[in-house]
Amino acid sequence: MVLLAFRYAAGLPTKYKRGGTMKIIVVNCGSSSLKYRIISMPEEKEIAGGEAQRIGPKTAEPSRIIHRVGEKTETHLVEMRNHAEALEEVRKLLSRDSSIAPDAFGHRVVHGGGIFSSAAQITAGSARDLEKIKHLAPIHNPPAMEVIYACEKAYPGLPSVAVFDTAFHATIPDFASTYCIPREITEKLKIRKFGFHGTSHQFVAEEAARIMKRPFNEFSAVSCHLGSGGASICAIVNGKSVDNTMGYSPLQGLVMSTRCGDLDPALTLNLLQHFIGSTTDVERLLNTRSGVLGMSGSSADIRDILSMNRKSSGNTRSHHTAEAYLWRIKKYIGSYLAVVGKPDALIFTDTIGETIPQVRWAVCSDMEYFGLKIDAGKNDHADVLPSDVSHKDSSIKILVVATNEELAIARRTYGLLSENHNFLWNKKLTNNYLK
Amino acid sequence: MNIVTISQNISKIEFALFDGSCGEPVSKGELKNWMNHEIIGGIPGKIATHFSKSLRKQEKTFSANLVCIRVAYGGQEFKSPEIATARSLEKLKKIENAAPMHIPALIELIGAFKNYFRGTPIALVFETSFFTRLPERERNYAINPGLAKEISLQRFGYHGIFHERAYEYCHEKDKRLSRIISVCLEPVPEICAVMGGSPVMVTGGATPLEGLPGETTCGDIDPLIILSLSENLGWGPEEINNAISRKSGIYGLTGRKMDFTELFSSADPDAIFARRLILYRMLLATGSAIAAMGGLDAIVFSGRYREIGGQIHGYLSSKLGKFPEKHEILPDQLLKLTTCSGMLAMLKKDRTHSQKISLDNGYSF
Repeated sequence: MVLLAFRYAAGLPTKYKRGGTMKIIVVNCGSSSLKYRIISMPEEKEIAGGEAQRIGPKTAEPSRIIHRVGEKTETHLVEMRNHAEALEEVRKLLSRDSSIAPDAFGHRVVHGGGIFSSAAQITAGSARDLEKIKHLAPIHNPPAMEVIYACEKAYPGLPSVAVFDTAFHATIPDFASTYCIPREITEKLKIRKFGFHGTSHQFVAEEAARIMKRPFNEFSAVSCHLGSGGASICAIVNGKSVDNTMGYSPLQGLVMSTRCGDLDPALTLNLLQHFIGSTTDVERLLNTRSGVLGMSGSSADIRDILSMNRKSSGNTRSHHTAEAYLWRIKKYIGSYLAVVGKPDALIFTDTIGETIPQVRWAVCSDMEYFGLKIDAGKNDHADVLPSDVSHKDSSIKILVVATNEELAIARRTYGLLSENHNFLWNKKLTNNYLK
Repeated sequence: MNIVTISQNISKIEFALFDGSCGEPVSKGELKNWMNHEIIGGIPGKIATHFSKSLRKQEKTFSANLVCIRVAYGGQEFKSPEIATARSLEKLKKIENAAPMHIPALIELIGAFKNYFRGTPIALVFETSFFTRLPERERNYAINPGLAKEISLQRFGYHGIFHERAYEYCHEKDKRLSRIISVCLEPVPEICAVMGGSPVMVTGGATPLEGLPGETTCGDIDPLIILSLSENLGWGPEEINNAISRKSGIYGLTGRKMDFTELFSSADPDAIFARRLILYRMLLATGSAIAAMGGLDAIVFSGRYREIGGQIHGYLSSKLGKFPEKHEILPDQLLKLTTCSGMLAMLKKDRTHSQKISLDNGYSF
């Protein structure tokens, strides 16, 4: 492992002061993809972006980068054996246009463990801490680290900020984040509920508060981040996360595309015996071959399953899959409405939450007990976001809000760097004064 | 009609004798550490001796017209109580793998009763029968159904007799009460949403480990934690099972053995935290149950710790603005329920109800 100098750990040039313009590259790594967007801050204007796809071993289709600047999109076929190589190819594309030269990086890091409760500038010290916790999210954290190092190498001198999916959930109270297993084990292995998708939950909740003209620190909601891959629900009270359906890992909670979500603990043990003690096999089964894919046996995408059911009815695997998927969401919405008490809004976001009215309808119907009533007409025509799909008699707003994790990461990065600059600048002034 | 009731768990057998009026038992007792091949054959004799001695004091003699045995797990095979026959024992053998700790010993116990009380019918009353009506959407876990079948991976719920009786109790009081939350307060507590007499949501899972934390059981945890214990501590399935079923729950949080009554009255800081945590989990389950039924008419507490129901009701009411002002407490004990509810159910009712809630018309729950 090479720990680089991260030269701006000790101080930042004056261009990073609050109010200054900064072009931030936001990097979001998946297991075999790297999404990037260059956002000019503080005006929040996207200048360029794209996605490197099929990083890693060769697949049926070639590796490629879909790169766009303004309205122009181009596809580059290029071999990328790892995320560092992908970053280098992206750097080459960006270097063709000097007007989009970046000033800083904002990295999405899924798991901040118990160490990072807010965004952090990458220094040699924070990089060491990140190394310590990368096993907690084996699919997401290692490629993010690889890219952090690659950025320092490709753009020496540019500051990097890690923005954590878990950070927003640092406010979950102990009684909600503690698992009831022996204390000596939870303390030794640092096991607790971390919660995920925090960047998205916070972003859409802030948007919803803005739409409803409420100060965020007085805004309460239940936020449903329903992605085509992962999904989670978050209970928010006075602008703070108080619970999340994901837990120690992103495996717990809702039925997801290939993840099982909640499971009886004894069944994980049964599976361990079934696979003769191989934790890798069990982990792979529960993370990559369960959920919608495992239940249906035909597709990992709930949209395909719902579409199949529209064409054929009856007691089929796809029917059971759709029911289990929706039922789990509905139950958790009930749980979190009870926890929040008097929510201002129920929010739907991400691919499924934003684009599939059938899902919103199924999980919101028959919830009048909680003061929640969805309007069928508005729900069917929520094409322009943000959209209010609540019935006029609903005491809780039902909002469909587009998530924008990259913008949220750019905001955090900009905020942290200008804060650090001001802090260091002030400290310098103070020190000089003392001298 | 004299009815002997038998209820057993891993550590003990509780037994009682009723005179058929479904009132309080005429005599009752318990035997500890019964799950031993050499002991099981002699258990019916010991119980008969206990009853005989007890009745002698009342100048009566002991006789049994019926033996009712409570069975914790019957899988999908047993949808209602059954008289133990060669066929039902065959069916029990078929599901041995799903509950390897219980069923082999139980089969042996049934054989011992058959031998001792020759000619007396032996009824088997299953905690899981009530849950054979659980809708697919609640029953299924999100894994491959072929594998689920292979390792008996389906949600049941483990206090069916309590939940069924809780519903009947409310419904007998007021026919309009059809959406009930039943909170069974046993060492492994369980919350069930019962709608129109059928379960629609339950916190218990394929085993009693899932759901609410118990006196020594862990309740809901992230599946990856089990793998983490195996990888980081090098533990095998038996060690992990021991930790999550015997050293977790209230015991795991407070570091000492404590029942729910003590937990709800203790001023110890660890106990206060554990109480807060369990109440919070109950709130989550309550919200879930309300969503599952589309509302709520009544909440009923049962089980040996049912008297703490008042505190739980107070907490839930304070969190949920709209909540039944009063709660019900089911007065019956498990042994009595096993007799009255289970047997009456067998004798009077056709238990093969069709599911009350159909989802065939789209996905509107």
